[in-house]
Amino acid sequence: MNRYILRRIVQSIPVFFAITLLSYTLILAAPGDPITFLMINPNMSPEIAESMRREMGLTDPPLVQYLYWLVGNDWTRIDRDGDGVDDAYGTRRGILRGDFGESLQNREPVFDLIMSRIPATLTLTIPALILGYGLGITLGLLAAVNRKGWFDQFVRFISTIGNAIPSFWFGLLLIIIFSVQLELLPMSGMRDITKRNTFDLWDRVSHMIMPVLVLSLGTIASISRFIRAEVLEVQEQDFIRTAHAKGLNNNAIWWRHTIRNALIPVATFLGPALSGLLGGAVIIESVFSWPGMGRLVVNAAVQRDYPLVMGAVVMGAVLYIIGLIISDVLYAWFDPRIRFD
Amino acid sequence: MKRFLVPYIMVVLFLPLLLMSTAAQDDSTLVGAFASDVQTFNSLLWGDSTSATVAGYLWPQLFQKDPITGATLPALASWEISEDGLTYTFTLQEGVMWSDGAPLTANDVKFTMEALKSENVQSSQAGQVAAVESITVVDDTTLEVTLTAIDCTFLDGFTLGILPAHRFAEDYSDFMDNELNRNPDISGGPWILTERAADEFLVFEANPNYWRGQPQIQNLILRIIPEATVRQQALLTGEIDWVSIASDEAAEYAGEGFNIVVLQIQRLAVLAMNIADPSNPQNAYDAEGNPIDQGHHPIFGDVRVRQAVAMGYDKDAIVASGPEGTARIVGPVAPVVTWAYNDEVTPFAYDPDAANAMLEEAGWVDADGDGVRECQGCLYAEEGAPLSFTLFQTPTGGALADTSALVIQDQLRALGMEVNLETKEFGAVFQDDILAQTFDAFITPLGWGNSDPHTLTNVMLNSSIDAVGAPLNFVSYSNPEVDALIEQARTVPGCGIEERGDIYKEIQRIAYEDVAFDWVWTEIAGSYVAFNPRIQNVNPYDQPVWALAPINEWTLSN
Repeated sequence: MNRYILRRIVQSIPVFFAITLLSYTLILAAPGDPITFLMINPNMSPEIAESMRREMGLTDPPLVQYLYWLVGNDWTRIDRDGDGVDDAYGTRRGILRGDFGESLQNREPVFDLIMSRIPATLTLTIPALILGYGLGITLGLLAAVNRKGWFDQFVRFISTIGNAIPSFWFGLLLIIIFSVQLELLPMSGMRDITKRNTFDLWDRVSHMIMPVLVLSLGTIASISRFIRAEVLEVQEQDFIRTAHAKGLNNNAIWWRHTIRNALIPVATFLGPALSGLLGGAVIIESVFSWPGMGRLVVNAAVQRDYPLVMGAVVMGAVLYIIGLIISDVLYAWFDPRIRFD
Repeated sequence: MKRFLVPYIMVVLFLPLLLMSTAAQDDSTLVGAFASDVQTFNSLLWGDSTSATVAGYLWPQLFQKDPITGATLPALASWEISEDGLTYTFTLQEGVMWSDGAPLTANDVKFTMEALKSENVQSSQAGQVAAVESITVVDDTTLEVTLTAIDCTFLDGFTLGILPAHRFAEDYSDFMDNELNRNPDISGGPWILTERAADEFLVFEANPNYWRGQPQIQNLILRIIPEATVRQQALLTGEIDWVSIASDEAAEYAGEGFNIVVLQIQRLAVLAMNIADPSNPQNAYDAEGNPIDQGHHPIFGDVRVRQAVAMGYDKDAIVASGPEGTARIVGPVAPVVTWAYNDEVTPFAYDPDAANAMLEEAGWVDADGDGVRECQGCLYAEEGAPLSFTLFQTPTGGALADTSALVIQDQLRALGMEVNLETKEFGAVFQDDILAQTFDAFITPLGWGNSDPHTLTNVMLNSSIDAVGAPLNFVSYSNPEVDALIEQARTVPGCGIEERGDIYKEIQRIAYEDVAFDWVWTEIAGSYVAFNPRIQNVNPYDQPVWALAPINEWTLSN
């Protein structure tokens, strides 16, 4: 298995570089740069703008910018004042040496900015993942058990609605019902600001309920539908029929054979879900004013904060690759028909 | 199993709801909301509106503006100008202190101004001190600023928030990364920042040392709520105290018991026609100051075509469809600036016959009868080229700008002009077409601001600042007489408004005849804000620059 994992990691290296190069190209290709919107200011002369662009390294060719982002520029002299003469060594060490760079907009280290937002995002995405999978699997199983019954119809209805409803609309709907009309839940933020200096568990939980519910809705819908279909398919398999013929009781057939086999494909979902832990809550974080990674990255993209966007891309790419490897390993682990070699 | 199903679901989904209730609002705390967080608290480095607003809470400005006319008025400082017009002597209020007890002196003002000239500081506001030759601190409350030449716009352009010199390195080596840029614990404005959670909230307390007097309300919390809809709902539940609303929502909010305040925003719209060759954009002058041939736009390079456009659609009808206060304009001076606005220029009337004749005279005729004119002897296009151009608009220009674009397209088509209306996101059109100067035509609303007439006149008409990559005079209008008059108005000895006003009126007359831009309309649009009725003493017009800045004067009723 170790060799298998090692091989998958090595195979992922070109994928990582491809993702970062493509992302860097895309963000540079977007109209404008961090200085563009400052140009509306009549006090901003083209000379000042050029000087600021040079300071930020935006005047270098795109490939050079990518190279510096990757391996840094502390090994080469750069032209700081634009006179055409290289006059000082750069200060960046590059992403490959652990330097994510500095945000162009607020001049803070990108790594620190990202790390400061990850806890808030995970506070949403992990419960949403647990709720999504837990409730999705439960509803899917119950729907399969009650095939063609009213509950089955209900779950199928829920899964269709869950996939069809735009999450921002559902979020606003919940806010209007539970915050404005019923006044049961806080509508935004991750805590009551008046209680910011104390930790109040119920306060935190109450702020999480609606965003977690909205975030998990799509997962609930997809997983329940998938599990239902898998269970029904497994129940038609020969080994289940054989178990019945052997006189095994229904509970044993259900728990030992049907559910076990139906859950194996779910492992394939866990990999991509891992990368979704950081990036999957963009819209929800905006609707519920949640100070997480999603909002940080969206704002960075709007402001063309290239290092910050790329920092987030790196985190997402690494998590996605790790997720895929875990997914492959789990699949092989659970299903004896698949071998690591 | 089935009989437990429904209760199971109910417990999972709704039990937590039964245990919750929303928090009540603190009676001594004012709560507002912004759409985005502060990028920097440094008054010299901001580039976004939230940072600019919050900088106004922390860093005092020397002057304030008349909210209607834009005239500069004394605030923290008054001023005297020497007879030669070169030396400004600023006198600061006595006894002003920073929140940490240190005196706010002329040295702080000098430090702030000189920061913009430091090599260690990268600021988009450096132009504010471009005309300054020297700054001398006479004593703690007196500062002499000497300019390299007379500049009647110096005071108008000086809007810097003064920073505390004693908290920065003298050589500005820490200026860009100082902790004050992120978490300032000092203030010279009405509020002191006491706590901040990024993208979540900012907490302020009243500054007892504020030179205008300590704010009436003890605490201010600004929450970051990106979605406008959620901010509005937060007002309804009492989680925040004020929010911007659409004009057609005002009656509904008033019915709910909220107080509505209408802030006036003065805007103008121009139809910008590129006068220079868009296939080969050039600066107007080279580095040595020699003029560069910018070529001619194949259609709009001919002033007769621009005049035909200006007469070819019904601006009066557009104005009539706008809100109350919408009016025609004749140049880059707001009508409320009565000393400089030229009310003697008669705007082009809608006259399709005259426009047709002018196009014929300019060599644009519809020879093949397909409804689109072709060049037959025109000045700058190839023979046979159709009179067809792209008109850009942005999706955020507002209803009146949208109406204008459609009227222009429709009525110019009747004159034999093919107008390809293209809606493009502002950032994209700004970067790809306007800064690059590769566009044909662009209709855009602009803010009058509340500045001296020089600002917009210079930005729109001065050829000396026309450069590819800069949003200044992006149509490449070039008239040496106008350039000279702009400079003359800026440098009138004594800076008397009568003499300056006459010059600006002459500039408007010339630029109108040249159709440097096609001036479409000006409107006094209402920006509506709904307030929780517990807030009292809101006076949106008694403010320095930002519409809601004087919240230090608000009070909370019981």
